Amino acid sequence: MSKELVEAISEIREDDALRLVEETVEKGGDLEGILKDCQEAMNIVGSRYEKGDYFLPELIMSGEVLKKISDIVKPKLGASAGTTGGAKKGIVVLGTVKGDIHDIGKDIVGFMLDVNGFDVRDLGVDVPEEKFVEAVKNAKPQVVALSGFLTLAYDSMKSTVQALDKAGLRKNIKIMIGGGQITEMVKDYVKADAFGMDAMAAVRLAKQWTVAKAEVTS
Amino acid sequence: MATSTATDVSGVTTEESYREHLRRLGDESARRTGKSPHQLYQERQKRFWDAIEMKEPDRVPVILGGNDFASKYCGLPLSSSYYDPIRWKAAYTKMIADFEPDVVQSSATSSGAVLDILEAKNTLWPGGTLPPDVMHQAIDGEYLKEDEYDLFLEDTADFTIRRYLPRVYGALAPLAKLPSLGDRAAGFLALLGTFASPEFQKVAQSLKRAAEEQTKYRQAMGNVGADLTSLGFPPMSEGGGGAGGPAFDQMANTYRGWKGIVTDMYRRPEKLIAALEKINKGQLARATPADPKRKGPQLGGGGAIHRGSDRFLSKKQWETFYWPTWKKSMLKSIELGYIPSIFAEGFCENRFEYFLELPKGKVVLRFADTDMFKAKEALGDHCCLIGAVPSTLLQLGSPSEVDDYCKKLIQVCGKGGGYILRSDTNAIQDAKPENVKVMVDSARKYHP
Repeated sequence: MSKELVEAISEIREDDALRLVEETVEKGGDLEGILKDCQEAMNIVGSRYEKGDYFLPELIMSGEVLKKISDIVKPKLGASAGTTGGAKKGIVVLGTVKGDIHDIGKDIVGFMLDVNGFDVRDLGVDVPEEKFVEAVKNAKPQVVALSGFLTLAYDSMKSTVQALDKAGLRKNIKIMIGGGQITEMVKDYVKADAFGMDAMAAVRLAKQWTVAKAEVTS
Repeated sequence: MATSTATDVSGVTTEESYREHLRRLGDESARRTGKSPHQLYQERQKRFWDAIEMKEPDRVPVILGGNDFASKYCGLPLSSSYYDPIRWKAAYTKMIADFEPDVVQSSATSSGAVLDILEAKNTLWPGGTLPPDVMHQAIDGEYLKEDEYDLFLEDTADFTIRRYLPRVYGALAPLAKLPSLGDRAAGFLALLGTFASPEFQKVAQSLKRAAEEQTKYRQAMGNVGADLTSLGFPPMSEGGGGAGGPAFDQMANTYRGWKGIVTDMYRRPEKLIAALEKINKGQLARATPADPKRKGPQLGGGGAIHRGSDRFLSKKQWETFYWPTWKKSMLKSIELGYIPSIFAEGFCENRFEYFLELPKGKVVLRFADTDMFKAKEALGDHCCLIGAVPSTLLQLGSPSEVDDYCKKLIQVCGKGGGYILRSDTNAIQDAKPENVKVMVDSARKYHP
């Protein structure tokens, strides 16, 4: 573990972070350790965001730094490593629903789930119901996360939940929704299991749901 | 043809039938209210001006807008404002006449044919690149690349013509092949050969066709604001003016995209600030004074907060990149005789303290997701506040829930005046018309 690297990433000092990584790589140092430091740094970034010390730019920029680190480290580690290494906590199918192309919120949710150990299958934007159904059939996720910013998204979310139900998949999954204007009222209308106001809420929900699931099935 | 209903405007297809439609709306209003449009206009305008000037009006005024809501209300596709201007303006005036708000705040409309011909890449629109009933959406992108700041700063016109326009309009892609346009006064004639090539001939053709379509569209659209005035409904603001909105959002929305501008704040903050200052300098230079002959408060300048709301920027980022240039442009608008009208989108509670830096009574603040009751507490003595009935409530709530919500807004925020009721945004096309009616009527029903 390098305290210096954890600090450089969590304080979003890109140049320092990349220099430290390069140095470790040149010295033939602990590459898995770098990925663990990334994970540790992202925990700090996430909790600062939750406390209101950090905002979206810090989340996005730490993601950019992580991407660069991973570009340096991954080729040397082989194909099997994830962004932050380690076994996955669960699978999340994610997408912005039909008719809506907004992706800032979805991308941040995907990124924070990824760095928190989830296997995220991002279907992109303007995703029709049948594509969600197909992805859930194939990936067998524990969690489906629907994103949307426009008011038209409420109906698309609702029809996506209905389509999953009709395909007999609803009982196997928990569904969360999120987006600029999502409230309890929208959650009830859509018949989702929960909604969240930001990316950390998505991580909390996913953790809660996958832990509960693991307890039930084991 | 749609079946004939009370809101059916499908038969309004010519300017003549539109004029007839306006006459009908005027007659109905006179019958219903027993007042002339002029009388109604005066009453509504006074109510509105009183609120803007932080006086206590006879009751809380209410604003209505919503281009797409008008289409839906009258059974037209959302594409109608883009492709069917006469039917659309019939729907819009019908919607306003039926709901009877005190003030109309319209959004800009654009010609779908122009966007089609130019092959616009930075926006999606109904009936063009979207199905006819899906609302328009902007495509956030890097239309100025990270290594183009120097060109933008040194020669913005050259950047615009050779880099920006070819990226944003497919039909103008050949412009990217032009040589640098700076310092061309002497060698201009040498450039002429370029324009003889088939692809540049096509560019010229597209521009000509787009210009013709633009003219046709504008003629058909006419002046809807004036039509509504003739029916007794004052507009939120007349004409433009003032020094414009936040330079940061122009940079983010028009040029760099959200992710681009985030990385710039970390990787090239000096260049970003230089670009913001350049945009701001242009805003200040172009601003024109308010018309001294016009009575009442003149709204102008201000602009909308997009990427500057609480969740998008920290206070430090806001203070470094967002606020300095914007504050300058608003002070300039105020100096020129305007009252800047700010639309603080998203959540903006962390920005309250900055709004207090602007002179008292010299701005109007409209909110969307911000807690209106907190806003009233913090800013109620400082300037007129507008907002914010959630469009989600208008869409999914019951009429009685909407009524309760509006009642509370009027009673709490309306206290002492300086408050105007309004939906959070103009994107209320999915709202139930009966809920919108409850919202507008609540202003007549309840008092602070």
